[in-house]
Amino acid sequence: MAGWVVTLAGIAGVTAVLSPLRSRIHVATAALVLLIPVVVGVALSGFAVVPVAVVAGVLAFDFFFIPPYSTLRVGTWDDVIIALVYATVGLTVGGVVAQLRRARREAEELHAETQVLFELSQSLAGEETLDAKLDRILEQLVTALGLDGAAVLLAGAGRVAGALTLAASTGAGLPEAVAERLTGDLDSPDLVLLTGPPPATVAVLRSAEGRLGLLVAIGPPPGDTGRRLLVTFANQTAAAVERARLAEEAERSRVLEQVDRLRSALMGSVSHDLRTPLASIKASISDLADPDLPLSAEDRATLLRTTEQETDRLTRLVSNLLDMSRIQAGALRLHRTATSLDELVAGVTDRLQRSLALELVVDVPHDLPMVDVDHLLVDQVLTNLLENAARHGGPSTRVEVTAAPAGPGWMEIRVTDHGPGIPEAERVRIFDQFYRLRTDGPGAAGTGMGLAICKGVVNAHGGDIWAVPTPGGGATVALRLPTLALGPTPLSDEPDPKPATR
Amino acid sequence: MPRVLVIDDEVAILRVLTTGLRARGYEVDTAQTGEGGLAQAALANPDVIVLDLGLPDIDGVEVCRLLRTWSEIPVIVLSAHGAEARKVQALDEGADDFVTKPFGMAELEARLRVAFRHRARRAAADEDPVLEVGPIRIDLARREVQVRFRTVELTAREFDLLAFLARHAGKVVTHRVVLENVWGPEYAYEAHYLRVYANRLRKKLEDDPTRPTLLRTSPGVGYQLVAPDDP
Repeated sequence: MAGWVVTLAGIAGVTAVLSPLRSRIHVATAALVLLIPVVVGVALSGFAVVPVAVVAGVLAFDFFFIPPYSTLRVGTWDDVIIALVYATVGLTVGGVVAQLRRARREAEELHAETQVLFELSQSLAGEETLDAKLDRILEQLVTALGLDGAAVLLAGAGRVAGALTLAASTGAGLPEAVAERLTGDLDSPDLVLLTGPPPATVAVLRSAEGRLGLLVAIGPPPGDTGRRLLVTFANQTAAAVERARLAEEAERSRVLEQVDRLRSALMGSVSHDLRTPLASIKASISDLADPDLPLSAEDRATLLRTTEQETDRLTRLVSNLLDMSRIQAGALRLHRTATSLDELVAGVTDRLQRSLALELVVDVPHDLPMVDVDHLLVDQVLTNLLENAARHGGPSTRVEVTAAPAGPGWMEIRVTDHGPGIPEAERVRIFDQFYRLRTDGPGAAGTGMGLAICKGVVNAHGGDIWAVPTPGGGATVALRLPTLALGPTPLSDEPDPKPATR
Repeated sequence: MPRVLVIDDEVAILRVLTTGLRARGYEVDTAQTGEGGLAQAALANPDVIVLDLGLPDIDGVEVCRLLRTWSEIPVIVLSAHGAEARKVQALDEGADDFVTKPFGMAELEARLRVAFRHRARRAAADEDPVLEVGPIRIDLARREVQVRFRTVELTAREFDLLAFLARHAGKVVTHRVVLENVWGPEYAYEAHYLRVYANRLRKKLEDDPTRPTLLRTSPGVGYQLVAPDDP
């Protein structure tokens, strides 16, 4: 607007100043001076000013400076040529100046855009998760375009047509009125303008494989620069989403690979563990069944005892495998009964005393509160813990089993060995499935299932299990089981034989 | 009284093997680690070693290799099903025979007896230009072979193969070892040559080539030349 005013005012001013002097100056001089307002106007307001400015200039020139004055008639051919030159120069100079002006403006816009993009990429680089990246993109989009709000909607991972979910939003978020108009199959190569209220502009996010989702800018429709920026932001968003999806896929296949490795490791160690007792059993039985072999009564007893113990071991392994698969399948059903810990512990230690060469020290008082547990499963837990203690106890065969109340509602059981202990870095991971201590050699027994089963069972009871170092060396595994929620046990109706006072 | 050293980390199997082998009249020493086993092999001077491949400290294959650096004591490897590759490695490293777990004691004892005989024969045959395996008599100097005093015509390659197997009689030699020594290192993986030649030898040596008693096959592993009175 300013250009018009300046140009017309300029032409009027120049005319007013020069027309009294017209008899003393050359016609061409007047024409040259009259070009000045045209150029200034173009510089201020662009090429749009030029036609009007040139027409006004030619008219003013003709009317005031070409004789006969005050008419549009032209006196000489010289004057005609001067007027034509004026028009040509005016148009050309105006065009050049306008072009320069446009170029400068574009350069400025480009600079601003580049700045915005640079800031965007800077801030995206600092973010790890897709959610954080999307938040960052939206924040900057809102700032750059002066929006009321913005949102990203993504199609599901399976790219179900029409199924869009809101992944991120900022500012005013995604108003219901806009959301309603975002039909699931909205797919256009251009920006889609939704008229208000509130007005919104939608860009479709694309990857090579198709539509990823939508970027919604809430606010008045953007201008050219804004539209370009919006498209660029949409591209950035699509790239971020696609990268995240690819990373996710890579992670998934990595996990699958790991599961595969674990599975074959398990197969290896399970088949070793199944075969080891079988080898002893088969060798024993083949001797016992040999009628020609001169076996003493003592030999027979040894072979029979070994067969029995190894059969027990096989049974434990098989039940471990079954428990493990039940825990994994989430199908572990607890058959809770009121169980007295001293009996449970005694059952396990009696059974294992013979097969594991252990010096078991049991301190489980018989007057402890009963626990509310599945006693078969807890039996399995204690068996696994004692077997571990025997396996990792090193040269010391002494293993202590203690139990004591641990706050209201819980009993704590501890199995303590005096072996080399567990390195601190591995103390948590030993409860992972198939995890085996690094110090275990390739032929070391154990499937890495024992402690995972313990954790599965104890957790299923709502309890907890953990490992701590034994003071003076060794490992202690502690676990908590819930006590019976009912009042005093039926056994406590007799008065306490130990008098409280004397 | 033959002396057996059993190296296995499993207490139960040690107990069973000790009981069974003592009842059969063997003297038995035991070790639960590779290190311990190697030390016992040097100290107790056993006639044969029974070695489990899965040991807690040193891998069984490595125990074989270390043992062979200073001793020719026959080694019978206890291997697990599905661990064929490791069994072959152990045989390549000088183990004599293998038993796959789980095994009957009679089977183990049969292998032990072949190993004893092998040890006795090899001790005697080291310098002798004539090798005898059961009914087979091989004159290395004159390159002549007789079966039950009847001369058998062999090609040069057949003779070399038979002589190599006879020098390791009682021992399971892997395909690779036979091929490398009889054909040359570049033939190490041409197991089909071996099958062809083994069948030709059987036709010339065995009473019933379809049911060989002298040249036994360990499928996928190798061959073993034994005297037929070896069970």
